[in-house]
Amino acid sequence: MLIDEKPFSLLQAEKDKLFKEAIAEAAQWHYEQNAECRRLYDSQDFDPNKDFELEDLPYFPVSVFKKFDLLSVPQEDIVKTLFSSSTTGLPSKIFIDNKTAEMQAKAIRQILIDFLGSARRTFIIFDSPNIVKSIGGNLNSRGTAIRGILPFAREVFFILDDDLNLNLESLRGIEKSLETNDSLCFFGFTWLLFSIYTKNKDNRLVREVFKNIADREKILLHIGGWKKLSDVAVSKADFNAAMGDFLSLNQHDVIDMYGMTEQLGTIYPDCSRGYKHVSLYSEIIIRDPKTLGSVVDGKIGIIELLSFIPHSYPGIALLSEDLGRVVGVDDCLCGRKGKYFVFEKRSEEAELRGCGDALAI
Amino acid sequence: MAITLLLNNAEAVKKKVHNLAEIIDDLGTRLEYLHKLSVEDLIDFFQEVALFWLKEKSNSGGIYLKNIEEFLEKENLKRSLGVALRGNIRVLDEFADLGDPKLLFHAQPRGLSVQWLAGNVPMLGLFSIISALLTKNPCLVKASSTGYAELVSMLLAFSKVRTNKVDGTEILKCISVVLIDHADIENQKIMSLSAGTRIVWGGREIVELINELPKQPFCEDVIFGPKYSYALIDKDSLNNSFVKLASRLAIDVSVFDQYACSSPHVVFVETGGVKTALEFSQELAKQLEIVGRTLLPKDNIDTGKALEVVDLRSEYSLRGDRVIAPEGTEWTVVCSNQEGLPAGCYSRFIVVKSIDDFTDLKKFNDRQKQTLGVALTLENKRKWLDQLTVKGIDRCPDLGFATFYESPWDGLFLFDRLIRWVTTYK
Repeated sequence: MLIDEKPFSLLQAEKDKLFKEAIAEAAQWHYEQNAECRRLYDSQDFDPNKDFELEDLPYFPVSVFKKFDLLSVPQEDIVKTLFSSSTTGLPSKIFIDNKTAEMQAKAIRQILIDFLGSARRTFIIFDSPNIVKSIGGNLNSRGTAIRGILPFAREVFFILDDDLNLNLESLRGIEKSLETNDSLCFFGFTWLLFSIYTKNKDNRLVREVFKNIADREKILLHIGGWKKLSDVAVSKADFNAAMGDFLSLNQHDVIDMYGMTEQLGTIYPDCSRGYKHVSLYSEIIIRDPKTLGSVVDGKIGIIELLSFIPHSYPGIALLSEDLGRVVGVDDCLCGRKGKYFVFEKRSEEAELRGCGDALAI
Repeated sequence: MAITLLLNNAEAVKKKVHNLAEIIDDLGTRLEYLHKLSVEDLIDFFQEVALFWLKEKSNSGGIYLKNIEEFLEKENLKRSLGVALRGNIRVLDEFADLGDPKLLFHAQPRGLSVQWLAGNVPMLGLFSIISALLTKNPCLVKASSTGYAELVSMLLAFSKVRTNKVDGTEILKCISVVLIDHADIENQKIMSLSAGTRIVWGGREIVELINELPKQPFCEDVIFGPKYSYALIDKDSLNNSFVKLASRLAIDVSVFDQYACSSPHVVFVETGGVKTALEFSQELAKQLEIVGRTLLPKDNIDTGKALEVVDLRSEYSLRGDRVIAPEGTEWTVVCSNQEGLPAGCYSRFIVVKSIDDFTDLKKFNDRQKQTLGVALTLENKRKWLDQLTVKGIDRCPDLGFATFYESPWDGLFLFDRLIRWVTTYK
């Protein structure tokens, strides 16, 4: 099974056949088990039991998970429900069974090992410890992401309080308890990290602590999108420079991880060349906004992500609200095989409004 | 904040200025020039402008040009002005008899017409600008940052037209076009306070903004938008003209890409005929494809709108409605059983619903509903249109003409709102 393979071990041509088989099996499952999926496929005269091209597989826009409870397994099989971060209104609601959870954990583990190595690190998490507590089986996106990386931690420190302000006492505690040869991983949501930076960049005591623990091998992993930062005109380069300075890091060790709650497990960290790599567990198609057909490599379009991992909900082909472009295939200088791409930006809201919005009054 | 002056003193300029007062003063002096012209002279001039646009086969006017030309046709203008001005267009030139036993009437201009144009259909502003000039009011126009170039290009054509009585350059001097930042409240206030009439084309946000601005106590406001429109087809019309009606509705949906207040977002199809709503949806899909390919090709769509289209298609599909669409985002027809009026998606996205009893439509009609495009027998027009328009709906044109500007518009005669009535005894 592909999920058992190392994430970037096959050339694209080798992957294509195996991935298509896996996604076809997943499509057949959801078609049989999920009424909404069946409606979608039927409405497009798509038969998952016949040979098909990936581009022809009908996709859900991610927004449908905000409006519909989509399940492909009985409700009693659901072990947790994930809620996406919602920058615009309702959050997505994703239902997870054991099988999906296991595959997600496996995927994220193997991808992160590829980037971080298998040695465990001390994680300094820019969040409150209460964020990872599930309430009635529900977990929000920040809690979900943090739980996903915990298996890589030798030790974990949460350094924000419940109001998401820096807890200086916790921070000083880290300084005292760290071993000299500990490898560090700072981790947090992009907007939250930048907010902490903005509030504390001139705080001498805070900077002192980060400086004191700087003499170790360390990286910053951040996740959660750029919408809030692009709203205040902070670019990726601005962010990397700010965080590098604040945490006494080399800017190349600031790693942005792209991914979405609606397809958890398949994450896309920046490689050393600044690109995001598509693992064996997922695939990417860039679609033209007008024709919705796939575009040639290098052209910017809407990012569609496919993965065979979602079993309990029909999230195997999702049209994101993000724009990106494929940079190349199999030839990234970082050495990873397969497609690699860049995330350009979150799609803007429609530029033009008409008079028909009268109904919204 | 600086204002971008686009058109002033009969020249396209595109330069930053800080002093709006000077422009307003200059326009004020043009009132006298316009006053000396007769309405017949002005009508002749604007017909010549329309012919000039036609001769030049101006691309700038695009799909709106046909509507503008028909509106400016001499006899149509005389008729429209006459209806709006109590039957006698000479009231614009002198005290005239309107049939009152005691009084004579003269329509004098209200003064500077300040106009805020919309981004969704910028060319619609031509109608209000020409209407203001015909009623002898100079115009200060705040153009939309999208589409202003087309507007200025169309207006510049005035200076290339000259009739026996009217020099187009002099008419063009009666118009200034500016761009002002949305957040530049100070300059918007100056504009607003200078207005004899304030005309606003646009959505909710701009209308609310202008309503908040100070104005002179006797300034007249004319608000065009934000409104919602839809269409209605009875079974007899459907039986008799199935393909033709689909074709006409496809045009209404494709002109302005549904961004106009008058564009239909949903069509109700009466049940009980030979053809069903689903069959009509399928024919409408064919016609939208043809119109898009031959008559009104679609411009590029922005990503945000494309995602909205894909989202809505999926949503309808998941709710069990029939979605008919090409592989791309060019157009969408949904045959739906959902209750109520759907919010407008724009971008050639039309919902088809069947209806048993037209009485059900009454609850939808309030002052926010503008156009009900109809394909009804004469008998049904008589039977239904009176009761359907009691609480809302300003016009009920035949399908295919929903987006054509006509007088009155949005429930009012613009010509009448641009003048003030002066009386004297006979």
